[in-house]
Amino acid sequence: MLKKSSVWRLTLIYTLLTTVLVTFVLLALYYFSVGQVIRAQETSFHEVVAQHRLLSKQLTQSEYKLQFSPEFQLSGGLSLTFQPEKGLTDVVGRLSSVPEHVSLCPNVSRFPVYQARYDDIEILSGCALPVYEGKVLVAQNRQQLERWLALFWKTSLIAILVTIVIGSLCGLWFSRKVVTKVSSVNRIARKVESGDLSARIPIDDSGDEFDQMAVHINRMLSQLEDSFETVRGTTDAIAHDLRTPLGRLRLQLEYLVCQKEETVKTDVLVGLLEELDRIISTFKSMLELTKLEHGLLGSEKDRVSLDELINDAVELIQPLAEEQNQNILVDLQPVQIRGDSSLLFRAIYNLLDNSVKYSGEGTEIKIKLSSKDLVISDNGVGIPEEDVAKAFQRLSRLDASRSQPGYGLGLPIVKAIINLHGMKIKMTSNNPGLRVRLSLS
Amino acid sequence: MKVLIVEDDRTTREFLQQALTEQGYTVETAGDGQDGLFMALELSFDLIVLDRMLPKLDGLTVLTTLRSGGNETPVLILSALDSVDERVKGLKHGGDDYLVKPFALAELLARIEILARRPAGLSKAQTTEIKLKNLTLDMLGHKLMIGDEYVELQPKEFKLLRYLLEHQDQVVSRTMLFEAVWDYQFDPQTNVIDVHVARLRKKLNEVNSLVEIGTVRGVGYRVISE
Repeated sequence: MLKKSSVWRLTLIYTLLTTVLVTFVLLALYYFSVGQVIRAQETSFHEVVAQHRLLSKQLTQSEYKLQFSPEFQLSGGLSLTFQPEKGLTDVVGRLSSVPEHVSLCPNVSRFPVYQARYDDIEILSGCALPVYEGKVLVAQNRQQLERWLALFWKTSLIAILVTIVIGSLCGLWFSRKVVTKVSSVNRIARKVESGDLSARIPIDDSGDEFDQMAVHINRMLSQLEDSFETVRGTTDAIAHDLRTPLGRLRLQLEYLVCQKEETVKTDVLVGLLEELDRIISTFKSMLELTKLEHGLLGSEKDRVSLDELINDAVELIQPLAEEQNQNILVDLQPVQIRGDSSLLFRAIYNLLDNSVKYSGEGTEIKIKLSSKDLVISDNGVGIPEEDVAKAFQRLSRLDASRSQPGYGLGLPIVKAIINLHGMKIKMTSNNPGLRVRLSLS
Repeated sequence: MKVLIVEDDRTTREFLQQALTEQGYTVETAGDGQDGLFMALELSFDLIVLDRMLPKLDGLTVLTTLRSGGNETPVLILSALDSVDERVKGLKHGGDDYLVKPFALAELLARIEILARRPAGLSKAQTTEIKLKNLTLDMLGHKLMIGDEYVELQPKEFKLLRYLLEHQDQVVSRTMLFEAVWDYQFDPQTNVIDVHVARLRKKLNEVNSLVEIGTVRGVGYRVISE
């Protein structure tokens, strides 16, 4: 309904505007063409009338009569006839007599005249001017002009009609197009409203404002869908990573309650405490990741010397690497950046921890820092190419069941920290092993 | 030792009161910020355990008011807000330590002990060497001597040992060790600190040190002076 009414409204407005425009153009055309001719004729007509009024006052009747000899006949399509007095005597000029009921100047009237030369009746427009005892008739043939005028008005009418028809067709087409685009946006919005976040507005690559708007809205929808997916993924992840250990904890506690012995062994309780600590730490990481992803952490940035920070992280991880006979090779240039040292330390430690944990026994881990980038690579088992992209996603531990404890949030936290510092991180295969490149700046 | 606990959650408050009393502290409690501030101003305490979010008067306001009144009682902030920024805020407002909920009781006890005894600890920090049994730690030269023998230590190992010795007879948690030695706000969440301590312990054993780093189960470590 809304769509229909706006189509017609737009069409009407469009048609009205074009019609007004065309009418205006026609009026202008009239004023400067036919109108101009009419005005010129009228001017010369009245000039002649004025001239004769003057002449009749200054000349004697016989002198005045001379004006009507053919050589003095005025040009400009004017026919002059002088009738000295009533009756047909002594008429000079174009006509054989001055008709009876011609109005007096300056009122102009139309009257028919018989043209003996062509055996035809001519319609003249003119007026009579009383001079001496009689009157002089000033007349002109306006028929040609009137025909033009009629033609002009007919043509104008046709032009306006054509404008209305074509205008409304164009308007209809144009407003359909606009309204269709708008209502396609509406339709998509309604779809999204009803929960289908994958709906997208069709784009016709015309690059016009509508297209740009569609692109922007689509981009917004994609972001929305992403965060929805994240929320959904997070909820699933919370369900798995918290519910499972919570369930385990509950079962164990229940079992303890049901035990017949009154005393509970300490190591059982310590086990439960450890379980609870793991839950707490998972919960903490989830919260932290969410905050990091939304830029709620790390607002206070200082100058951090990245090489020193990496050295600290290596010193922390070193004994763990030694336990697995892994060798850490460090090649660092002094690099200063702005950032949150605790968060950056955590990111780098997590990356190192990842290498140490997953590259396997006896591998070599290389850390190279230049002013451009930081590369951490190992020659361990690596991860399959198709899983590389997934590594930075929340709670993907590259095995769906996530049976190994404590991991899954490490790399997403790394990525969130790196993003927060305006840097980029990329993970590729090192053939063999894994290569993580962190481009600074 | 007199401790004031300002905490609005009744279970937590009563549990803390019981646990601290068992540790030999004299404990007073307050259930909201107003009472807490009043008691802190009226009575004198050796330590205040202050919850961050309290009814009537927010924890940080209590802290700021105390400090602006010239009260220098050590304050340990308990908070459910766990980000580094929040922590920095708490410490800036005059807190001496910051512990995030949920916390381990042992961790809290370890931190309370260290805060309550801090004046003594501070004087130790200004000494140039720590001697214990056959071990001498030279702070200026960053050297460790066992008897007359010089033992090579890496900088972090030195810091680790120093922190443990400075807090001898006190339980030191893994997090406290990490924060003291590495100076970053972050919980490595692994046994990495244990591995470091194990290495240091092994090194000390190899040179026949009589000082031993004891493990306190579920919490951390302690060097016993006796």
